[in-house]
Amino acid sequence: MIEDLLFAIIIVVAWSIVYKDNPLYQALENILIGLTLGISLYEGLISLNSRLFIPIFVNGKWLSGSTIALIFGLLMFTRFFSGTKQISRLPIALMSGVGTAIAVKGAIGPMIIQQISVGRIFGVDFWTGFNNFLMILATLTTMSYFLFTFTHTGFLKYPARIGRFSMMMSFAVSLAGMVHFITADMTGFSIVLTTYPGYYILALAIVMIAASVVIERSKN
Amino acid sequence: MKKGKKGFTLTAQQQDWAVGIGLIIVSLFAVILKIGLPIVIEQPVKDFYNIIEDMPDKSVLLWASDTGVTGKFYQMPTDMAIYNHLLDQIREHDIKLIIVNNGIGPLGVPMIKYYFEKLNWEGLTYGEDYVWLGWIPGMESTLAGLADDIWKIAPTDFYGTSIEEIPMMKDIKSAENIDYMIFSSGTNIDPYIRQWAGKVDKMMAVFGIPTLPQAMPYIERGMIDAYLTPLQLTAEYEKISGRTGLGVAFVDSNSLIILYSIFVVIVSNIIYIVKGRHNR
Repeated sequence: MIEDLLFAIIIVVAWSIVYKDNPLYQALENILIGLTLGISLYEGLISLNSRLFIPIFVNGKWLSGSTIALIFGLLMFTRFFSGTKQISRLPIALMSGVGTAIAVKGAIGPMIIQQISVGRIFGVDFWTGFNNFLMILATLTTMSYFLFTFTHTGFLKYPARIGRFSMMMSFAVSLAGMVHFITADMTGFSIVLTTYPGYYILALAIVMIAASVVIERSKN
Repeated sequence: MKKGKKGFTLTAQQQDWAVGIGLIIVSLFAVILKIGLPIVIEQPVKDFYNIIEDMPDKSVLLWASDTGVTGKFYQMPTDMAIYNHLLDQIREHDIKLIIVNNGIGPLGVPMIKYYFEKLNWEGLTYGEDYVWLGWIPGMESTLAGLADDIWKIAPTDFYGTSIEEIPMMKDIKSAENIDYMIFSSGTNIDPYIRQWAGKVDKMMAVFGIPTLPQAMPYIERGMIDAYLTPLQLTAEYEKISGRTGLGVAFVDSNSLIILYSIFVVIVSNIIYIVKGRHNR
């Protein structure tokens, strides 16, 4: 019950920014940042404990990847000392290099070779063929839009324009998805505020806002 | 609000205030009203459901997730709908489930703890039916490591138990021993495709609606066998699996909120056009 009450209070305080900026909202902002960092630190320490401390110091696995990870992790802290901060580039370089290599290795098949193959336009049902045609058109025209070596006049004028339109539609779909993301949270929070004990907090918030509006009007 | 020659005008801040308050009121009423819009089950949901429903006995499923508590109301209903179905299958068909968080940050850990607390794990034994390898930072490196050698990348589970001591992990060493994969991504799905496409019998994806355009090429090429997104598809999944929950509850109110958003866009554009003509 305390948890639900706190959750409702946090939602109402967060939404209070819609009315106007206030000290409660500012405090909540700082609490949110602090809590996020706190949880990250806590879970990070637990992860280090299970992945480094226990394998190395409890299970005695000194000759393992965990030891190398521990050494490189500790090398990162050399950044804080002016005489040794160059050493911290070693783990950063290792992470960048390994990360890039892993990504490139896996990219060739799924992201390049597979994507080059195009579905048929004819000999399939109408909508599949139409979709495949649209994909080819959008891909080629979008690529033509990015040919900045040539001005978008003459033979490039209309393909570049279609490419720009294709990109705009794609961004609009992504934006619509973002709106969905936000509305899902709105719905979830609304459920909290319209069930026990959230509706008490909601009622209290409405009274407080109404009082604030009346007080401000009387001042003006 | 200022009284001008022709009625009241609102400042920009007051307009924002009005739209925001309107959104809050609509979302509150949308939750209270419970319209009960019809839910029609689409093919992607059937595909996802059928893959889980038809898993052979003793299959091994890896669920890798990079989502966190920041998307609680967005992704959580989807995850819970799948878990509810999956746990029944684990009980009936002795399926082994491996859960791992591979996000950039550890904010997915509280979500798994929440699922362990709220879902019905009765009849299942930790270490024999399911295991949680915890948060392994590294995102794509983690995925590559899991495909290559699970024991090396995850020497212990979340609770610190050595992987050698976990009974179900005895014969599960790499992607070769894993039959199915579900991945929940709140960011970028490319790493999952790069590292795991073609390595398991079936790959299922759970991602947000903004990610769907990015995922379509992989879905069309067959690299993703089934997918679910929050809200609509989750509601359909709950309906098809016979366990309605947050997904169904969200769909009605979301539809009203979206309608309100469209209404605001249309009205504001009309006002803009009318004001423009008036000023000319």
